[in-house]
Parts: sequence; structure tokens; C-alpha cells
Amino acid sequence: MAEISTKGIGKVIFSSSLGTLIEWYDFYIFGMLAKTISAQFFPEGNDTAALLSTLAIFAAGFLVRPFGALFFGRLGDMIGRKYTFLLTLVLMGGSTFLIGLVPGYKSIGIAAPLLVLMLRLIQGLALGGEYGGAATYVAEHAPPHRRGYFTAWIQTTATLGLFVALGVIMFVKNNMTDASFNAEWGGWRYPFLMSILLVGVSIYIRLRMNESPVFAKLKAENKTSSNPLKESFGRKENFKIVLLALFGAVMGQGVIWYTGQFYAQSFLENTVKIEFIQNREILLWAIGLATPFFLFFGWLSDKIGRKWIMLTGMLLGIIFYRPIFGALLKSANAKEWRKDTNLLSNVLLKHSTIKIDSLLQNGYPLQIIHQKNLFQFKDGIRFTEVIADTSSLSKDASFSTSVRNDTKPIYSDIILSPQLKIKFIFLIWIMIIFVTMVYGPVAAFLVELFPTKIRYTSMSLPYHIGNGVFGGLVPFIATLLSATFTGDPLVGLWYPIGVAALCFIIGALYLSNKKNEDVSD
Amino acid sequence: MKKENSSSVPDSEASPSRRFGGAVKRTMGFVWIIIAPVIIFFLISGAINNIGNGSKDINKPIPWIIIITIFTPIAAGLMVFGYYAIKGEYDKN
Repeated sequence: MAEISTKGIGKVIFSSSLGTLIEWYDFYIFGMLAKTISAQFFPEGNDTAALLSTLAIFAAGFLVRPFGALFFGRLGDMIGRKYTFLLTLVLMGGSTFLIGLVPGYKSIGIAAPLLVLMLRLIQGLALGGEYGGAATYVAEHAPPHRRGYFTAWIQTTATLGLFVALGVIMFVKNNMTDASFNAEWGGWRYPFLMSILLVGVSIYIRLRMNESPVFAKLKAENKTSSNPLKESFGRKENFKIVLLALFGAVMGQGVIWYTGQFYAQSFLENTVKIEFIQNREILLWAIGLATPFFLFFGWLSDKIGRKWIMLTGMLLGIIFYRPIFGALLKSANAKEWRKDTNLLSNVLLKHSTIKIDSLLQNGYPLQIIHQKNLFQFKDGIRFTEVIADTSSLSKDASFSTSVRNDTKPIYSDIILSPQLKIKFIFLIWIMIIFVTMVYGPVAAFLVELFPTKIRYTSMSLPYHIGNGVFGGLVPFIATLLSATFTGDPLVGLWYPIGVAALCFIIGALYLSNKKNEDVSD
Repeated sequence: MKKENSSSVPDSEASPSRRFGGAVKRTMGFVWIIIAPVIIFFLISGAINNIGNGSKDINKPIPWIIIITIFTPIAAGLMVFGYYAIKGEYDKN
């Protein structure tokens, strides 16, 4: 086994992690600003723009990421890790910056969504190539007994990228009006434009790094692969390991990762109806407090092996997702608060506004009365209730005496009391701890499965199928399940639970807990 | 390819628990082979039942085309995984 020195490992980790973090930041801001981007580039009522919007969401995550893994993985195994993940960084940073410069649909018509779609696809392609390079690069610098700990720094980047993206968007949004933020050349563009600075710094740092010693040795001996794709997926001995990595580890890791970090956020916003800023605050706190655990579980995997830490994270998700999401839903139930006479006696403020819409139905005049009630309680809880009632007019235009309560009250913009907010942070934090368990050791686990000459290719594809496809499908399948089984608000969780359970069984049966110490072969 | 970590013990000399483990791994291979077409069936029937029935993403054809296109080779991979398991490719750790 080649002797590996830890001298300069801090620089290696910093340069790799910073670039990967920026790539995640770039990828996330598009998703987080999807509403504004949609209004600017994909206006409603235009079928072509709607089609391009759907392609931007689905093709970038599902199709292009695995393709990027193959394309850049092959390149990384042939010309080296350093230049390949430098290229992915340039592509990602450049396309993010350019999205910030594309004029809106109002100015250049259909060219706007076409340009944005093209740039989004380049982002997906670059993301597919980045992770495998960074993980491989760090692992090939790390000594065997600390590989889990050192590569865990790369694992923090996907979460920290989300943290930075949330923070930057909240900062910009809090410093301007909604109108200024959402305007064609408004504040929503700043997070995109800022990317060029971050990427510039990261490219400068990465350019000063050397090639991975393990790969450099292989190249010097002229032993690199001439066809990494064929060697990775065309030979049974390696292909069976690729399949095992995907179905026994990364598939479950992907759904646990997505559910803890992304589905939780959209669940709080769309199902529990927590107000926009407080929702992000909860997530920021939970992520910030959980991030050190990526390093802890990476470190622990060096001591006790990778397999059971990852599988335990999956098992905990399988067992606790429904109770945790159920607790989130039950704890912020405005409908129950509205019935609670004790709570209602503590109302600090109740502000009501009424809006009346008049229209004709079958030739008869009709009025829809929208009543919006804002409740604020002494303990800090706040929410909005909207009730729509219909009143019919008789033929002689005198109002009928009966007013129909035809819609159930709709509750939104819930602000939690400080105690409840802490409870929510704790519950989300627990789910991100599951993420740290499955995600912390996974880079070292994947690196150790494959030989140097085809490592970049072999580990990138299962990783991006696991995270991009299995993980990325969580919201789609959740919507599908919710539309099919309408009685259970938590029905969408059966998808991540089912995938994690399948992966747990395969992993428990077929994976080995033994670490492969030598990654220089 | 990576070298195997554990010693290569012939089946006849393996311990009963290891032989049992190998038998479970091989038997479960049939389950993985069956699951793969079931997944594709559910995806296709999901697409047929939902396309055109509303305005959500699940009611649009493009996401389904992309998902079924990407999932078909993945499901085929699960079948190959099952086949390898039956053949005893994963018997050794």
C-alpha cells in the first residue's frame, strides 16, 4: 500500500469542500427561488414556457445528473481528478452567474426560458461530475484510519450549501421589499450573481492544488484506464459492486437525505402552513446544530465500520418518520387552537378584514364573502384564518336570508410560540441526525469499493442515481400518493420509508462491514 | 477489480451460519427480480391514471416520460442484481 502523508490534508479538504459547497449553493438557489424564477421566465398561460419549466425541474435532476456523473467520471479517470472537478466548478459557477443575467420573458420572449433551461441543464451536468471528484480526491489523500473523518468534510457541503443558500436568500429578502425582490431585475438575481465571486475564489484555491498522489502514481506508470465506462459497467466483477452500492446503500441514503432536509421544509410550508421566514429559521437552526455530526459519524465509521452506521440511520428513518411528521402536524394545528377556549381567552389581537366579490351564476347574482381573520396570542402564536361564504340574491335583488358556509376555514402563515419553535427545531434536528448517519460515512464507503483507475466513474453513477433520482423523486411520489390516498396527510412518507426499508434489507444482507484499507490499487 | 476481503472458503467447508447466510442471499435474489417489473408496472399505471387529470406535476406527461425512462434501466439493474444474488456472486463478503 502506498504511504500517504497527512501533511497538507487541511488544504486538500478546504479546497475540495469549498468548491463542492459552492456547487451545492448554486444548485439550491434555483430551487429555492423557483416561484420567482417561474414568474420571470416561465409565465402561466404559455404552454411552451410551461413545458420548458417542467423540463428544467425534472430533466436537470433526474436525467442530466447521472449523465454528468458518467461524462465527468470518465474524464476524471482518464485525465485526473484535479482538472475534472475544476471544470465542473467553472461550468456550475458560470451557468449560475449567467442565469442572473438572463432578461425576463417580458423582454426577450421565449428565448428567456430556453436560455434558463439550457443553463439549468449545465448546472445538473456539472453537479453530476463534482461530488465524485471531490470525494475521490480527498480520500486518495487521506490515511486509511482517518478516511471516514476526512471525507466527511465533503459530506457536510451538501448541507452547508443549503445553509448558505437559505442564509443569502433570507438576507437579501429581508433587506428589500417584496416588489423590489421579485422585479425583473430585482434582488432575486443577487444570489446568482454573487456566485461568480465565490467560484472565482474557489478556482484560485483549487488551481494551486496538486493531483491526487494515488492517481498521479497510476498515471506515471501508464496504468490509467483507456475506457472507464466499459471497465466500470461492462465487467461483471465491477458492475455487481456498482449495483450493490446503489441498492444496498445509496438508494436509501438518497431518500433519507432528501426527506430530512428538503421534504421536511416543504411539509412545514405546505402542509403545516408555517410562515415563510420562521420555516427557514427552523431549518437553519436544525442544520447548523446537526452539521458537526457528519464529522462525528465519519470519524466513528473509521472506528467501527461504515455499514451499520448508515443502515442504523435508515432504520431510524423507517421507524420515526411517521411519528415525527405526525408530531409536527399535530403541534401546529390552527384548527384545534381555534376551538381551544383556554387559548382563545388569551387572544392579544384579532384583526378581521372582509372582501366581497360579486358575480352571476346561471343568471342570478351571487356574492362571495371572504373573511380574513388574523389571530395573535399572548404566548406568541399567530395565524391567519380565511373563510369564504356565499350568499345568493333573489330575482328582485334582495339578499336571501341564508348565507352558506361553503368552504372550510383555511389556515396559513402560522407563527409558532418560542417553546413550540424549539420543539420544531428539535424534531427537524433529529431527522437531520439520521441524514448525518447515512451521509457522513458514504463517501469513504464508496471510494473503498472501487479501484483507482475507474473509481471516479464507478462511484459517481450510483451516488447520483441514489440522490438525484431516488431522493429527488420524494416530492413527486409524495404528491402522487397524497392524490391517490386523500385521507392520510402523511401518506407521502411511505415512499421514502419503503425505499429505505428495501435498501436496509439489501444492505444488511449483502454489504460487508469490513473496510478496504488500500485505495491505491 | 477490488480484491475480496474475506478468505475464499469453499461452500463445503463453510460454517453452517455462513451457508445459511448464502442461502438467504440467493433466495432473496428471486424477490429482487420480481420487484423490478412491479415497480415499472406501478409507474406506468400511475402515469395512465394521472396524466391529464389536473394541473399538478403528476398530471403532466413530461415528468412521467422522464421518470419511466430513467427508472426502466434502474429496474433492469435490480433484476441483474437479483440474478447475480441467485448465482451466488454476493455469497462472499
